[in-house]
Amino acid sequence: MKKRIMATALALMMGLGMTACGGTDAADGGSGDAGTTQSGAAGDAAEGGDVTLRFYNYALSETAKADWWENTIANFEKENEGIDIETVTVDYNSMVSTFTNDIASGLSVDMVYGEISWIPSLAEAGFIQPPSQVLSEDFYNGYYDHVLDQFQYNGEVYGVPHYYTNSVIFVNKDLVEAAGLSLEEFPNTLDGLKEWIETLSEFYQSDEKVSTVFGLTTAEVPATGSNINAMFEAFGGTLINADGTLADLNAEPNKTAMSEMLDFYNYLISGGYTQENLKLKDYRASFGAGNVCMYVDSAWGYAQIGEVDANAANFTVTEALPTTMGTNGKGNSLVESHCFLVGSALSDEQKAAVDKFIQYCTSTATMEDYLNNIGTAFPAHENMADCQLSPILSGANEGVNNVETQTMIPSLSSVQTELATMVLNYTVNGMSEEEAVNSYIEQAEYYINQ
Amino acid sequence: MKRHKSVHKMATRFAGGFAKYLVLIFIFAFLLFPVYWMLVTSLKTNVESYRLVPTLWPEQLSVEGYQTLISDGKFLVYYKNNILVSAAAAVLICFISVFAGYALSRFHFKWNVMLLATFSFAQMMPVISRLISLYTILRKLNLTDTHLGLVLAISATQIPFTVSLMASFFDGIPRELEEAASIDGSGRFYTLFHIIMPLVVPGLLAVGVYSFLMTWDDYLHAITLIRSTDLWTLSQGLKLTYLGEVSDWQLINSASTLGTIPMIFVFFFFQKYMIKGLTAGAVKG
Amino acid sequence: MSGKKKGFNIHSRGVGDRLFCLLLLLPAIILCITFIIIPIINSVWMSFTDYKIANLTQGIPGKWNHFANYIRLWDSGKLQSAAWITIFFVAVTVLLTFIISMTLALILNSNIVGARFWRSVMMIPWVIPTVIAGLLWAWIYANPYGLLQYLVSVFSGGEIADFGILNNQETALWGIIIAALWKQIPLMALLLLSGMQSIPDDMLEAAKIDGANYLNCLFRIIIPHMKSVIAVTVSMCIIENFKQYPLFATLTNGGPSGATTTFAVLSYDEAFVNYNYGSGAAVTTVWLLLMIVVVFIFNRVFKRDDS
Repeated sequence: MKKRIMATALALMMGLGMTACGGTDAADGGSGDAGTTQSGAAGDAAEGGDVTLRFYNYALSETAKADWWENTIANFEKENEGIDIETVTVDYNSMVSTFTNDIASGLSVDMVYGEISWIPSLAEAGFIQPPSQVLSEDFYNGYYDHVLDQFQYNGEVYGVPHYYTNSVIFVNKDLVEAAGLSLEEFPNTLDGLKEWIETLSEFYQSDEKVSTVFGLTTAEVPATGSNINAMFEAFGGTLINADGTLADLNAEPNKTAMSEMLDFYNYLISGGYTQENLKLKDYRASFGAGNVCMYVDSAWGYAQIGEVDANAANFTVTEALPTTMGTNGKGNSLVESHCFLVGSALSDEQKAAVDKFIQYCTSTATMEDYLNNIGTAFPAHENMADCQLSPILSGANEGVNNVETQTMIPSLSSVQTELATMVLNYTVNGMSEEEAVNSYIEQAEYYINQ
Repeated sequence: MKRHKSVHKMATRFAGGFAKYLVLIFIFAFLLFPVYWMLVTSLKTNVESYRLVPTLWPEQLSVEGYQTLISDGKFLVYYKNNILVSAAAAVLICFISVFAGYALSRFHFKWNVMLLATFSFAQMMPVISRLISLYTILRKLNLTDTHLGLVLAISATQIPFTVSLMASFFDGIPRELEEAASIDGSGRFYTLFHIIMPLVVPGLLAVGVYSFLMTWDDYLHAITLIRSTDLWTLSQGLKLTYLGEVSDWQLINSASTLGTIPMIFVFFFFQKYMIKGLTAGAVKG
Repeated sequence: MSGKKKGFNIHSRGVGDRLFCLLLLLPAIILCITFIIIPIINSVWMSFTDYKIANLTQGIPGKWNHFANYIRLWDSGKLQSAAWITIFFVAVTVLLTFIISMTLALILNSNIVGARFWRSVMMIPWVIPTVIAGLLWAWIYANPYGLLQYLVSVFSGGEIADFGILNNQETALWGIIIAALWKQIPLMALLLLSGMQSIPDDMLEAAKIDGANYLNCLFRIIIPHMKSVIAVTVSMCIIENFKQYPLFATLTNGGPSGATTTFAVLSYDEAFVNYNYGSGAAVTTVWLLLMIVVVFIFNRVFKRDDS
């Protein structure tokens, strides 16, 4: 009896294995041309003028955005017969290593949906080319210059924005108003902001519901890095020189800006107004759950807020950073953008197709719903100028042009992430300001000079 | 004899027994509560999971997470892929290790020692150190983005261990059997397949189940080698589809629960063989 | 691992045997060489060269750079720090796993109600895929909605209100150790338990007779009898923890302030975050050497103890 059971089990396993092998073979055949979710209209492979674009898109790994992308691509393919877009979904964190592997092995990367901070590595490796060589001139000229400027690397613009945001303050209207504050009088100086913070903190002292009064992210991840870099900018500092070297942080105005910024973080953390080492996604979730009065984020953070509470729009408003922050700070900020990058080895047909596709994705018709419901952000091209701006963003709108250009370097992401370490070293780990900054310089130089 | 035990000793024994159960409960709470927590969170609405004071049992039972996953259809594809990949790897591993294990157990040429050393060395290799070259090699074989390539790569990681395991099973089988067979004039393969093999079926099952569970766990290989969404395995799919930057803990925990259940079944179903097999291998060393 | 076998030369049948043996071993050898040995050699070689993205994509061989990768890593202190953290993590995790598993095995081996049931249920954490295990603990540790911070706040009477175990330099590594223990205790306990069951019953009877002498008996009879099982399971555990990456990746990614940056995390960061493949390979090489040394020393010490 025992033996029979064993034999059956073994046979079962073998059987499974066999079907598995069969399945594998079938899969092999299907993926010879790199399997995809999107396959063009049936039978169009035989036609002559067909173009295929391999489109690497990390957004496909985020549920809410994935649906939008799948629909948009399907619609585009329907309207443009003969263009087949093969999407490749890649984990955000392993995007660049994925390209590297794929390109090394002879697969082409025709179009990428990504982040500004990837540009230096990709341009350096020769994976991408300036979009001005691909997009039709009229259309290209429609991009807002202050946004497009952010895409410069070695004097060339290497990407085009889909939409953009600066750092904005998310405010829970209900919590703030309950504490007797009026949004009409949102502070435009740092001192004013501190007054608000203290008022709120006092009001919610014994209220367990409020976990954070004014959240700033300090976790050591890339998104936090660029957020802190933007804060440094807001305090009047500049992290990277125009020639791509690390700015002298011990010279003015950087020294003051750094000192005032660190003091602000210290004020927030030691006062218990913000929690150390939280990620933006943690704040988004807490904000959505109604436990945060204010926090600083990119505009599209709302997507996750809305995921926690679908009705969060009722209490969410945004405000611009104060225009007076410390001695020199003007509340300037850096642009963050989700963007299109264009592969360097495109045929003329592919170029035309990329042009069409980017134009298709950069229009009011395609984007209005997205900018209001999926990733709240500001349009970056005049073709989207008619988009109804999400009411959530109206408060932050006034600060939207108040941005600086960031010089890009290949190790930007690590250099920015180290800023979080610096802030934690100063606020939590007991380093003096000088030690924290010097240790930061050492780490940053390590990444810059590799 | 027991009657003579002093009251004092009985008290100690009772206290000892009590402490024993207390420690047991404590350790099991540590091992099982996280699993319970995963299950419970999967049944809470997402808003409820964001409570500063967590609820021990959902106030409002919700299976929305499971519904989303199942109606989505993608999840089932990842599942199917992973079963195919792990089963194929398990079968391949069984085949290879049964032969190699037999060879290592029965023949003692000089290079066998070297081979064993190489195997134990190979067992220590961290995956990360191999990722870059691995991709290049598979690309040259035209096997990237295929299940076959993935199966080969993950099988290779398990083989050093399973071969030694199989060898220790063969060690436990008397050689007289083969000698008798060879005197009878049976060929080597006949002896191996018809006389020896049936005796190591439990060991083979152990190796198979173990490999299935271990390869099910793979994440780094899949993410490096597989691109097409319709070929993703479960860990990869979970990570790439549901964990991008989402904060839907109900969904994540539902997916985790669904990803765990089949493993628990596989284990419970085969545990007798596996426990016997693994321990026989490890205990003998 | 199963290296000790008696010679069996009588059985040898010359060239035929050699060929037969080789034939049987061939698939294992091919797979092992192609997917493990070659990549490792390749990676060690890469660690001595300047190897960046362009080398990979355009197939340019790396240039020998006179140990620059090692020197740069050493000078920055990253290598040393990663070594200490890795060793600390491995030592603590292995020790705790062993102690708890041994306790569990001893309890399950005494006449306990439902021992078989406990033994099966115990294995659940082991069969949960590591990626899921990481998520599970990330959720328990989450700040401020995680279970742990709530428990801490309740037990500390509200004093420590927002305890984020992974957010603090001092505690982050412990957070990972706890998750690793949870995942690894079951298998170790199971293996130790079966080792224990092979101890002759009359010897164990001695242990049961007198509670006061239990510890004595444990160290005199039980543990010495289990020497080989312990050696195998512990060295498996050492290797497993040396290689640990997924838990670090899902829980801390090396932070805060590098407090959990082990060799695994550092090598991943160097190679796949900063695209300096040579440097990443240098970390792996040191990592591997250290692992070999530790496993070697462990086996040596254990063997000497034996005699």
